[in-house]
Amino acid sequence: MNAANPPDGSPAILSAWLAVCLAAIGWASTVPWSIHGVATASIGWFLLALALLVGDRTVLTVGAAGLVLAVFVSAGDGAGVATVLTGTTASILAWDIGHNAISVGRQLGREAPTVRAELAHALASLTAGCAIVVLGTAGSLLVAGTQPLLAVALLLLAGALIAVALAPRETLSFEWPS
Amino acid sequence: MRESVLRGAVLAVAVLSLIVGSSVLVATDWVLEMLPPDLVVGLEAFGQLALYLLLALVLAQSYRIARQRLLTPPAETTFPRRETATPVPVPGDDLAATVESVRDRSDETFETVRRRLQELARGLLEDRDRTGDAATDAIAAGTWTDDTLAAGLLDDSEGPPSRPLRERIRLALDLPSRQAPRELRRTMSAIAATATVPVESAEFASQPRVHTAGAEDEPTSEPEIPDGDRLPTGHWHGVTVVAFVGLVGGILYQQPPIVVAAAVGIGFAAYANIELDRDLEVTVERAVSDATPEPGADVDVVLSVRNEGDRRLADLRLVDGVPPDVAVVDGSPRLGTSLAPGESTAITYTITARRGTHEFEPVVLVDRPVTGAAERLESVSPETAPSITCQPTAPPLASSDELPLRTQGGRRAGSLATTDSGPGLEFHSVRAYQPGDAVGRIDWNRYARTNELSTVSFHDERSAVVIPAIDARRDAYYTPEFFAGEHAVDRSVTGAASAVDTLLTERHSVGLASIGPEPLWLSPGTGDAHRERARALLTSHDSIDPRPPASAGYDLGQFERLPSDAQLLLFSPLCDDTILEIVRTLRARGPSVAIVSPDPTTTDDPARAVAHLERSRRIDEVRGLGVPVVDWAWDRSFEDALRRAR
Repeated sequence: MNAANPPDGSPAILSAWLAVCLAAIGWASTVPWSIHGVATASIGWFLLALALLVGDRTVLTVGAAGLVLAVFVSAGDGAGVATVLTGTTASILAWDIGHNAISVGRQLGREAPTVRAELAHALASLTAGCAIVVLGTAGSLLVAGTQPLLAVALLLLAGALIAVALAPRETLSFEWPS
Repeated sequence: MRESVLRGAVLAVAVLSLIVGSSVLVATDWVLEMLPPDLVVGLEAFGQLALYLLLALVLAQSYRIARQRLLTPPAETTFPRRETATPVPVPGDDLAATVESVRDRSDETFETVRRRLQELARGLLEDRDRTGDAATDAIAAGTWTDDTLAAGLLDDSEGPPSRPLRERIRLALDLPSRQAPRELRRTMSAIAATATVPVESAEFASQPRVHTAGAEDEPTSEPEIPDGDRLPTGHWHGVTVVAFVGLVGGILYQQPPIVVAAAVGIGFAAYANIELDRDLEVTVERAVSDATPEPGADVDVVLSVRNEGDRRLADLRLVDGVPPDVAVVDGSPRLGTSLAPGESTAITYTITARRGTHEFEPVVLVDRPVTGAAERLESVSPETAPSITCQPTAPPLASSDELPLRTQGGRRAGSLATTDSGPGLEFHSVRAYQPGDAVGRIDWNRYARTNELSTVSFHDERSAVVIPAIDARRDAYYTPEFFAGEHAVDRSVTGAASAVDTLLTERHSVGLASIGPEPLWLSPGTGDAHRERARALLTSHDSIDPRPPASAGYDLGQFERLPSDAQLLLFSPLCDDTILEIVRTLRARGPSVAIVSPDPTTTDDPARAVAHLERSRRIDEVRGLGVPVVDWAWDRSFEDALRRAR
């Protein structure tokens, strides 16, 4: 008699492996460009895998942040736009799918059939990621060369404000400390 | 409301700066020609200042978001844990928990436990044919055990106990809060050794404990579930930090690729905000392989779910409402799937049936949009297969002689006969007529022959009145194997069912009772209808539910209705001292009492061994009152246990 157990918090296997593979893409995008980037990415990848072994969301976020930072560092050391876009997207996808793995693991556990739900989420995120990479590459081709500072500042302001508007509601409002 | 206005305002400013910025970008020369040169210079300087201010603000905002992400976990539904049955403790686990909570020797609990152990040790020593004084002396002198630490703990000397050097070194290294529990554990083991009870481990068993005392504080298995609302999960919270950090880093280090990478953050933030709101339209059906199984039988449950809406349910998660008191033994009652319109899927899992009527709880469904940014929760009760009913098995006994019932004068609980003569059916003797004898009992044949009046006596026919009573107080819910499911009350019910069946077959008058907060009572009766009534009560009366009652109280009021000639057959694991009081009270009311005691104790850790020894002492005490006790070992059948007790 093998008693069925309630979920113990172990992340769902398929999503966890997908996340680790995507993190590998993020890691690989730093390799040719920067030794510092590779070092940071390695730590990030390791933390991400560790988080998916034990099912810890905080460590997962820290690991994914390390990967994104590593991609930025390698961009500073000469990585191209397409590489940087791919690396960043892959890292964010690893974070997203890793979180989903933990979520499925906590709600349903490894003994339940969850492949279809995991695949649906992962495929949708991958599609969105690919679209972002394509749009980003195309956009960067349009805006090439030196630009007037005013235009850059205004565009950045627009980008930042959009990001603020899309951010979680708790961080949308400011309350001045009294 | 305020939030959406703010969000809109921010987006409006964003769009404005996007338009102006793009027009400057696309038509740089034209814009520059339009503006006076002084203004252009001023704008450049202002732009420089505004840029750095903006970067600082952006960094502050990303810190806030990152902090919030790391500190608050995503707001996800916690699914109810439906796989395991409501757990009940092993005898001794509450003592172990008490001991673990002791901080040092000045603690009041320490003294309570010490007194309890002292009492037990003294009792055990007295049993080993020492007089009371000798036992007290042995404890005071510490000669009852080789363990000096345990001996020092139980003697009543003031001041710190004398410890051997090795102990003192260990004490210096140990954490103070661990010392008192460790000493109590050692003493428990020493006491068990005195009684030659083998304790498997010197440490307490580490399995999750159920604290009977604090059961009200335990979170109940069902978390609060808000139904039907769409709740944001916060799955994507924090992705905008990538955008912020990319913007700042890209500008400060003048690296266009990083600025472009920031767009990825904005892109995913936008993706997370896609609203995919729609109603959850599903039908859920459940089927069970057997709605009236035998206890212990495996029952397959098939739960199917079908998408009745016109959109795909991308990420549908559900857990079936397995009844709280049955355990899932194979498969999982959970499912995560993705359903196209009209598509259906099913899960199969196996539960082990258990005595009682078990109703399925509602199925909990969680529908997530494909982005995972929100959750909608609903609970659905399928109309098919709402419950399973499982009657307790009642293996019949060879005869009611097996039961520990008594011969009281002539009233032996034999099937029909007593040794007294009187009215009845079966011939007993003939004696001289005495005035007052019933005319119908005069032997007229003999009168015709001898002209003397004589009276025929028959065996006095009196059936016994037996009331099996089940101890179902909270302190009777104990099990030797934590997750095995079956506990002492289940055993008691099985035993009572056997007794009821056998006694009714032999045409005795049988009632039924329980001891607990809201006890069960069935007045003594006979016949097949009565048998069915008793069986139905044993199957699903609330007072003997497989789940322990919330309150530890009990009520003996129903025993006031007891016929004066009734015999009580009490089923109790005898795992606490209150039951002794109950036995005394019941005996004071008149009926003769016999006890059948299923033994849920084990000896695999010191506290459990102490509980085992205390129960043995309790049995001796009850026997000392003149109450026969059948000690029913866990691995024996009821009949086997009765035979051994004879």
